[in-house]
Amino acid sequence: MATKTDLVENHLVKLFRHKELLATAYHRGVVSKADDKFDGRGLYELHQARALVPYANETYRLASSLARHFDEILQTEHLYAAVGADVGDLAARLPLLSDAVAKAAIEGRNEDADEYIDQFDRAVFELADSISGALQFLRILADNKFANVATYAEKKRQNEFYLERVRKISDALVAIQTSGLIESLESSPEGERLLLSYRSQIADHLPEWRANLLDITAILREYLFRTRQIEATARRFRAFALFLKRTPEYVPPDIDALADLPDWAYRAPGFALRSRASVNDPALDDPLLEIAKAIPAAKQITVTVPKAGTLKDDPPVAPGDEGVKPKLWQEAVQSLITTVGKQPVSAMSWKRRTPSISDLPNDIWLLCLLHEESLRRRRTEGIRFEQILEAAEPLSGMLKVRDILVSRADQ
Amino acid sequence: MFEQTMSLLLSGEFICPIRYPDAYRYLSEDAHQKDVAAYLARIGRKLSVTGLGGGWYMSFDQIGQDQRRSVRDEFSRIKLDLRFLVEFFVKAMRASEREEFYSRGDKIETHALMAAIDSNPGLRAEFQALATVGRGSGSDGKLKSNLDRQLRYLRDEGYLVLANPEREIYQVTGKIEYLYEVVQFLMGIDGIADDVDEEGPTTPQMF
Repeated sequence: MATKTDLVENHLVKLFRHKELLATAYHRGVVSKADDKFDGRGLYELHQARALVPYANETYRLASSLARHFDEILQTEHLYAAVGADVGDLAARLPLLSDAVAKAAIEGRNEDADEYIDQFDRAVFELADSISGALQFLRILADNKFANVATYAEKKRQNEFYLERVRKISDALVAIQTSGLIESLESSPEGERLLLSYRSQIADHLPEWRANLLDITAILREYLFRTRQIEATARRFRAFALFLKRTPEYVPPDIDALADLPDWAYRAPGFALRSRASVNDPALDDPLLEIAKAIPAAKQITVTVPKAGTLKDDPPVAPGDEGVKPKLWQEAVQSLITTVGKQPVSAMSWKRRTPSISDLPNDIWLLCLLHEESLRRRRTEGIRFEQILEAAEPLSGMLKVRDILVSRADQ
Repeated sequence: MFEQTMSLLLSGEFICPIRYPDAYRYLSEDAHQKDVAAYLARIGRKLSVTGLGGGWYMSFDQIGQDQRRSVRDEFSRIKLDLRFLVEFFVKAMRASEREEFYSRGDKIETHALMAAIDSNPGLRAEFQALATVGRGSGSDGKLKSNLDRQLRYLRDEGYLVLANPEREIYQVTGKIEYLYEVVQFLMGIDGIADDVDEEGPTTPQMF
């Protein structure tokens, strides 16, 4: 006959044989014959072992007890998990079991009493495990701020739900503490044996659990407060955006107009931080050397030296390419203004004395001098051109220049 | 971690769990906060945190003449950007049919936002109008280019991080909480009520 130990081992062997199927059922939710490498036999065996339960259309789901076990092992979070739901029921079992032990002891049914004590031990452990598991789960949820939920509205709903769960666990703890079970066990037969496990597993942990619950409650309440603030923020921003839309000319007040600056206004601009390695520090020699080695060598720049050439003689000037020669009248003007002194010289008299421009008409000569004057060249600085005019028709606008007296002004 | 955290604070960054998770985790511990605060105190600065605790930043310990100039610059910058920031986030909220305002960690999916705006002619016009509000280089005037430019600007200003470049998903940083405080303050001093009615019909009623 198989012992209880053999039965557990056999069960585990069966689960192990179909581990892939179990894992698929846990992760995907349902499995069918197509997932079973034993062509349906795995489904059958696991169904017999109560690890899988029929679902719909020849599919199976993981038994909830096994799924819960995996959730606990893998710390999988579910929305609105019934965390700590069984704490009250488990606690309610203890007085019933202790009564059964006392009754069996009084009636002399020692074997039954031993069996009930064993059951009591298990129930105590189950209760302790349930409470500490629930607290651990709630703590994770509180610390990660319901990270598996995207929206704040959902976070808020979850937060409120778990605050309610915390309240229920807290009520259950109060009920355990005020149940008077310790006093009852102290005065009942075999009570000492029960008391030992009850104290070590439950009573001694009650203060610690209550403290944990208070911590969790504080975190959840504070987070709930924040999520509510976020709602208020949305309302505020909508109102402000509407105000900006209705008041296009709105400009926030100048800082100097504010008596008290808010904390956020004290924000300091950053510094432009830049560090350099100290090349004089021997401790940095090696790393600097490594960096230097890592830098690719600079490409060598080759400068090509041009060959020294030889001078060539200028080619002879081609006829008609002698360059621009000054004209005779230009030479004459140049000559007149360089030779003239303080004594005014009549341009017409000077022309008559100069044979090179004897062919130049007189009016052109005078025009040349007027032109020279108008150019205001450096060479005519200090030269005075005094026009000798002939009488012209009144109101005709004509000026008839008869001669020009050229002289050098006093310096 | 002290070194990295200090460098970030000194360079004027907001340290939030989205943008700098390691530095933020470091600052979550009281002992580390004291270390950082002691260092900053020696240079006339202090460690500050947003009201909701989502962003640490460096602020002036006291306000003298020089500090006042910096504070004025910061305030001017906020004044310049305020309208764009508020309008962008509120319009994006409306487009995404969100009940809550954006908070640190929230995602903004460019394509989803673009599709939502595109399917609503009113929003489309409003986002186009918003394009002229946001600063930055000019674009071709197309809605997608404008939206990209606005999102990039918000990223450059530290309000968003590009969480997934391939899918163009942005994430809101803790700096958004700084904006909450600015808006709350301005509404307070200017006496703007936060329970105003939503905008009614834009066309006047007939007699």
